[in-house]
Amino acid sequence: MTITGSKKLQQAAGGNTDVALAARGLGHAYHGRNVLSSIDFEVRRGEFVCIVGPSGVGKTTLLRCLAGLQASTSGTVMIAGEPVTEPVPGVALVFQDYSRSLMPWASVLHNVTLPLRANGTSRAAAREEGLRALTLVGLDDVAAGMYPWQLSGGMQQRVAIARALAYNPALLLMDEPFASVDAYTRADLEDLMLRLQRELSLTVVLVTHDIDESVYLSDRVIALNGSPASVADIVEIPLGAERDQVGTKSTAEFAALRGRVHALIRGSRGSADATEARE
Amino acid sequence: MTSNTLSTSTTGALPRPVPQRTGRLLRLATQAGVIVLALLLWWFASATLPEATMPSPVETLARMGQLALTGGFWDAVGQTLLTFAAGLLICTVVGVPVGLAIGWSRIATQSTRLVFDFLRTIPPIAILPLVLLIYGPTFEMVLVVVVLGAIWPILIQSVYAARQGESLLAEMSASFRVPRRWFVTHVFFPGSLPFVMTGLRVGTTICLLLTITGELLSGAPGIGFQIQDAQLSLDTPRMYAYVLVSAVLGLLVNGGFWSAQRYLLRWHASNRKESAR
Repeated sequence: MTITGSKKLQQAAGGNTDVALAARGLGHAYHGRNVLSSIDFEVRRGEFVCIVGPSGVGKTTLLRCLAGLQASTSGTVMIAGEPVTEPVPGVALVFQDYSRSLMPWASVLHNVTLPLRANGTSRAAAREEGLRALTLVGLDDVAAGMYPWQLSGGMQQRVAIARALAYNPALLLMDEPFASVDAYTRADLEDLMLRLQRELSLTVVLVTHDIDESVYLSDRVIALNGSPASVADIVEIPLGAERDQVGTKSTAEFAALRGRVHALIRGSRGSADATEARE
Repeated sequence: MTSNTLSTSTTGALPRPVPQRTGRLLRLATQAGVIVLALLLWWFASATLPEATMPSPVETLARMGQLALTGGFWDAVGQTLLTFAAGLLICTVVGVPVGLAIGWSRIATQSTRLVFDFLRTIPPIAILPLVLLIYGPTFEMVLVVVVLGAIWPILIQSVYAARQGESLLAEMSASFRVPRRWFVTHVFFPGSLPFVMTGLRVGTTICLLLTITGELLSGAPGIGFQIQDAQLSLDTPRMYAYVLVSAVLGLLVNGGFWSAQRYLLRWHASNRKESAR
């Protein structure tokens, strides 16, 4: 079901258009207060896009709307040309809080295969898919048999990524996935995502507050700005497919792009501070 | 540290805690010491208090040994255990599903809270005279008292347990389109187990206490009745022997519960033996 779902999604996306995900005039309000306003962007198939903005700007709300977990108060989300009203097949989500998004009573493998088993994949096929996905993120059969809490934080987030990969996603949504791990592990996981995205031709939308991370990972960066938040600008990141933590980040081009995104975000933070000061 | 956890995780070898033999021996020794001290205190009390108010430990244990050879003793123990087990079963079978069902809905949780708080503060012994009028001093009568007293912690903890249906795991399940039935059996139930077990642990103790209290106050057959009967016939060694038996039952029930919980919740943070973090 998942597989057919994502195939259908890919066909639909590839059939008439190359757009995997589109937000059109998306807005959201909590108790009458606008958090997001007229968000417009498109994500093409096989693209790595980061949505970056300061903490509290409404990034998670945006991602929840994109995932169909939350209905937006205005505008629409289109996945494969269809409006999203609930979670759709072929869209996988990775949460920031790996320890709470993994089931502590189930083995790593069972965690990874849950979406497959729940959607009707046979035990044997799910096991095979699960082990394959775990191998992709660098976890072996021994780790597959352990409980998630026996692993380090970075390893647990790898399990969450493997769970999303086993789902064979046409679109991978990630909510601050590396915000809860240390800097060294974060760099490892960033490189892992770059490699996986390239090798599996994944379409990834990653939400982060980290400007360096957004520039390092993305083909395009969507910078959120203002209160209520809207898209300040979409920055193309022409850094090529091969990137590395030291080399890429020390180029003048990286610094310029980083500065550009930073300026876009500072604009929004400045106005947010002004609003707070008035209140 | 991170590189360390990385390497241990990829090879799969986790650091195993070294068994601390000396620590364990010391613990056993202090436990035995405290028991000896308690027995000494008991002996001292029995020697100083007026005669026939408290027999010595030796006298009580001897009497317990004698009683253990009689059929009446085992009938009483069996009856008490039967009432206790039936009470716990009813409380679990009713309290857990009803609690989970109420907790599933926010409105149901909020609207029932006041009634449950009201009902659970009524001492079960206060309704004993009424139940005694209806059923007489019988198994059924004690059972009603036990259930009315012990069901509340089980039910209320189950309500709390169900509130984690709004957790990140529920969100994760929704995003992966996990069907509701699968979510309930594979995610919701295991996730609510720690809370339910807390309620059951409290409920188990209350069940046993109320069984014996109910028997004692109403004269329904069981250990409680034996205590009351011995007291009325001024047979204090027999009375203390049965009090001791009820304490031993409590220990056994509690111990059994803890091992069941350790097995069922072996994944839970309170039982984790090793962690890479």
